[in-house]
Amino acid sequence: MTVRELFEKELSRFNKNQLESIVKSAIDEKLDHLTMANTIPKIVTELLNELESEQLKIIRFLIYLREFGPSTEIRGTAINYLGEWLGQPVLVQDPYTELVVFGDPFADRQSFRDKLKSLFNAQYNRALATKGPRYCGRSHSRILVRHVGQQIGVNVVYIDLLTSTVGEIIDQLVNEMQLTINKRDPLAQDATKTKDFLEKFRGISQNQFFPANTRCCIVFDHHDLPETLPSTREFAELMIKDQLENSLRNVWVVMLGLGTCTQISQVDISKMIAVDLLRIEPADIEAYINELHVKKNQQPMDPGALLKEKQKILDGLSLPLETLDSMTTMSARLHQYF
Amino acid sequence: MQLTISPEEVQKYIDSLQLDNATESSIDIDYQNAACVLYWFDPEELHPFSIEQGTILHTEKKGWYNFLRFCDPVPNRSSGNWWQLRPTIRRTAVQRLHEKDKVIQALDTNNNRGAFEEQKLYECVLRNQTIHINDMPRQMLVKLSSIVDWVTGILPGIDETSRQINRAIPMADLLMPMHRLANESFVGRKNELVQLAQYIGITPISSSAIQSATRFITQLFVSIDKNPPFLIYGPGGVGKSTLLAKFILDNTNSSDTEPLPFAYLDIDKAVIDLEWPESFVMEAASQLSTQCPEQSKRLIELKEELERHRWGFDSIEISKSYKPSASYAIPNFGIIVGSVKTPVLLVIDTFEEAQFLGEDVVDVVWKLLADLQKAAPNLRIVIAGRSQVKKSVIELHLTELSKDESRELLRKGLASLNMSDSNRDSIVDEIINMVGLNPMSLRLALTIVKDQGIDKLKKIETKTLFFIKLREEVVQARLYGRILAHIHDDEVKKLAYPGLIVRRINPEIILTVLSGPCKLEIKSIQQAEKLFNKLSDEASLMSQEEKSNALVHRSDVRKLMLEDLKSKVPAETIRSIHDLAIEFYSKKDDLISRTEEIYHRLSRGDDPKLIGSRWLNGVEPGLRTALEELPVDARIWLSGKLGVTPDSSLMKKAGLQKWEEIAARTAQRYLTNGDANKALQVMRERTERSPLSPLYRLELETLRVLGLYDEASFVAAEALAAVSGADSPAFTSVLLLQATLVKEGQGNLVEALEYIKETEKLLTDPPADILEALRIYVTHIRLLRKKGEAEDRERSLLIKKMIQLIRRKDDTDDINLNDLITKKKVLQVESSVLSSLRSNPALLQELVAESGKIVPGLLDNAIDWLGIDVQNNLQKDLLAKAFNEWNNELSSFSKSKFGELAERAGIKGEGVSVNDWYQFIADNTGQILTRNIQHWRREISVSDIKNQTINNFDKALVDIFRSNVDMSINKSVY
Repeated sequence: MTVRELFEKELSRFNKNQLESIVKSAIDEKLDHLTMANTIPKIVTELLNELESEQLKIIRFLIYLREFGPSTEIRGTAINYLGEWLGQPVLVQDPYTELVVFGDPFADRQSFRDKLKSLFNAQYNRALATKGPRYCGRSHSRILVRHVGQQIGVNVVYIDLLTSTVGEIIDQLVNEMQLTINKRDPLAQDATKTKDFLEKFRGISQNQFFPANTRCCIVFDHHDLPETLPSTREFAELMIKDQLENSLRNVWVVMLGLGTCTQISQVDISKMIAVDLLRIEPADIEAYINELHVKKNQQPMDPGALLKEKQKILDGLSLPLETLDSMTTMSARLHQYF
Repeated sequence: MQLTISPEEVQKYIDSLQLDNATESSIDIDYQNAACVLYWFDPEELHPFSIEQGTILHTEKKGWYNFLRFCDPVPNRSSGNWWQLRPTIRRTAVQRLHEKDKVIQALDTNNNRGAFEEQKLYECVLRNQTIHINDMPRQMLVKLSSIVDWVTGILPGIDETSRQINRAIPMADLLMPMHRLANESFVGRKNELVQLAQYIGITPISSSAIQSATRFITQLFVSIDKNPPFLIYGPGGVGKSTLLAKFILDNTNSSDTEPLPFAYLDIDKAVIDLEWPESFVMEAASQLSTQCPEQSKRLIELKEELERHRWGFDSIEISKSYKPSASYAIPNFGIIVGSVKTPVLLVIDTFEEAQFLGEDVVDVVWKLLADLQKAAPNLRIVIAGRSQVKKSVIELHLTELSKDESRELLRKGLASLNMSDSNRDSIVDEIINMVGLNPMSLRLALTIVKDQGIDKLKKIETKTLFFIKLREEVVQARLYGRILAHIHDDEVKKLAYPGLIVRRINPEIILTVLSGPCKLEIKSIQQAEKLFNKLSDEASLMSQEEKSNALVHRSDVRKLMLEDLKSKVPAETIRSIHDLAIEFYSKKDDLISRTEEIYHRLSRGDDPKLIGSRWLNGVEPGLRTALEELPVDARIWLSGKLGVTPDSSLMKKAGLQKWEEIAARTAQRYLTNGDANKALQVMRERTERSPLSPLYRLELETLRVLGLYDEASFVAAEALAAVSGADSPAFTSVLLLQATLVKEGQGNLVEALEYIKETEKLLTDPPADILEALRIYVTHIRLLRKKGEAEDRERSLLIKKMIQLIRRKDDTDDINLNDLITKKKVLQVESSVLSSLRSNPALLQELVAESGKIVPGLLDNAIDWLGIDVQNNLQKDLLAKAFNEWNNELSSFSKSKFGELAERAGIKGEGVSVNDWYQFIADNTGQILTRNIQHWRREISVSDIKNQTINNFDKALVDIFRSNVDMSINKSVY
């Protein structure tokens, strides 16, 4: 996918009204002329065509989204697209070792990086699961998967099990992977919908003509939260089971926050690549600032200065870092070192 | 794309935008104040709220212009400009309002906020009003959970609500299947509910005025013999699970009384593994952890520990990961459950699945239950299955409903039909008169009456000429037959009958297999597809297969119908369907096709020996239901293949090789589950052995587990003599390796080395089986190491050979052990080898023990997959010293005062010592220790410390693996 296509894809996640609101905030214009009887992806394409015809407008739009975009992904894709416009494309050497991903810090997590690499290089058992306590950065890990996916040409579909129903998950997969699955019964029970979809999906992925541009990594998040519906949890588990048993071609599955499984046997669970995540520790922050410094200046930071910087970042935060507030503040403070 | 304007112009333009995401204007703060008390909002409709000035009316520009920088879109809404404040922004704003006591005023600012459920709930929280969690549907609990997250630590009294939600959501999930079973159509079973309550020692909720204090009758069940489990048995569909669901709902889901903690284990579910009964404990611990807050943490730890044990268990080299049954899990579970102050209900449903596999499986499960009962005297075990068990139990035979209960069931079922009460009552009595009082028969009859009318039901013969009611199964088959006959489309009717000779139907099967014998007018796949679609509309008849889009009959009813069909359909038609089906499936390679091919061959009466060549791993589950349909020979043959232990009378008829195959499965089961003596007993039921008997290896494993090395030595010699004329190098190799391990266990290294050298001679070049070759090499290397330094040269040569087998195929460099030791070269392991080692944990552990110091990839994966199992004080001491050295290195190098490692481990104070680390290890065994080691080895920058220190730490880990291997080989029974 091109940088523009990735940006379009992120913009297409909003509904028409939300998109109108974004455009109004960013460039103070209306979308009325585009929204008549069009689908969101078409509206987005036409919108970008229009903005690109007036170059300062697209730049303003991208800068606005880079600063205020309502998700890491939209900010990240805006950064990349803006880079292309300004003739400064974002260069990536090894996507797995990136310290700043989509404009956000990606600290600690060497094991996740290593295993993500193993996952994308694996012939069989292309499923990875992370486990760890709340606020250890399970969901945050998705941005590295997306980033790597973009760099190696794998379409990453992120599914939040917490906020989706089985029907919504299927719709999302069909849309984002552009699957040709027509016959869907909206009134069927979740278990039937799951079975039906996975059967068809298996058929599609095993088809030798399954197009290479549908290489896809499906990322499920929040499997382990009690709030997640059992039916959506089961959907994710059965998708993984399918991958482990049938080695679906061109498909990888990542489960961020694996909880108790009811559909996958222990033997199958043991086949998955497992990553245990721990909460970020002050020592990780220190190591991270140092790594950024090394990258910029080709030498480590002076130990005394490093200690001071660490204290500055952690100042006033409750330690250990295990609340959303402290994680967000810490993350925002790290931006100054990029 | 390319800009046609100059970079300077662009920069000027960017500067002019004055975007600064670090500053918030005061009006933004006012909007945040207003938005933070709304579940979601439309930014164009929002009025701001100022703490100082109250509501602010905007005249210039309506709505919140800068909202985007503070908000997330409300997901999954196809329309509407709905947004939510980001959680951290919201929390800051709520805090601000709360400090000034302005929350309610902010709420009143936007009176147009809507009265949707989520907003109402949020307002209850903001206004500190009581929320009735118990009556709340699951989806609202989830929303409440996010709401509570927004205000936790800010508003008072939230922690208790949070705790309640954390319990309520998993509880709602546990109870969801119960609600589905015991819904409003549940009738009767009053006596049965009372019997259950009496057994458990609980006063039924229905008996009024019972206070919590007297609700549970304290009685300790000390053993399964004195206090046997409660067995509910009866045919499928009679309502066993429904009865249990009703009981559980009555006793756990009331806000007025103390709930009864329960674990509901359905053997039919994937999470329960009959080959590994500790999965019962794992699942029970998981379910109880959501209901017993005080015990929750310990139950979760136990579950995780069991998971880890499962991952490390080697089903090929059982003796090396053998632990007597549930040596740690059951006592722990007992202690934890015993600390619950009420009885704890343990339900095992679908017990017939265990019985199906044979008495040995029932024995293993029963032993587990006995151990559990002994360990937790407040445990109440209730089992539900289709038949009686040959054990001491309190039986409740669940049969038909009473007449009144049947009437009530039918009245509820007919409530949707427009008819007078008297008419309905008369139909109800007619149905009962015809089909009796069995709930399943009544439900089938209800389907017919509702779809086709009472007259059609009357035409079904449910009684003999002498008005004696037919067997329940026959009545149900006929009722089902009536449903089949009701199919309007003649072609579909033919497809369903005699089409049910095949177990699965899709358009291809209709065209190729069924069209001829069923006399269907089908000539093309398009016609077949049309017919298939019509058949799929008959929802009561067929359901969609799990792994394909084929339709399958309901297996219970198909079984009943088959008997009927065989007497009514000409034998040549049935034969012809089998022939065509075999031809159809034999051309395909997938598992489902192979399963069906074997099924039709067995049904046709083919010689099982010939069928053996068509067998594939994975066809077993699909053939289990066929077992009962087959003649004796086929049944014995299939039993062996399925791991089902036939009853003793059938076993006696089995030939030697078939008996050995079945006995091996049974013995393996006992051995896997920690009962080596029983395994030996099974294998010694017959003394004769075929030359390549699978029992030789298993017997040697068992004897080694039991520490009976002399006897094992004798059996090994006998087995090697028997196999000498069989010309099977692979089999001989397995026995020689076993003989080696026996000698090693005896401490006789000289003879062990002789055996292993003989084994090595049988290896081909390159080896046919890499894992077997690795087993041989690693054993040889270990024996040489034990012999001492004099053997180091030979050991080095063998290590090179072993490395040759595991390293990446594209690595063709000469192997230089010194480079590997000094880390000049880091050897990568071939990924296919690594992935095979995952399912051979004993071998992986041995490889790490012998080469982990020079092949870090092996060590990394062993830590991930097997964990660091610190079993004794010597190992603790070793690891503590290694930690201390690492930490000293770190603290001398840099920033942290006490050392980065100590800081991460939470060890504080001047002069961190080996003793501190020893204590840290003692406090953090199992998964926690492993996680920390995994994390630290990867996250602490290698450039920070000397290679030697890392090497020393890794060496300590390898030494722990090494001593664990030695213990696994030289042990007797624990």
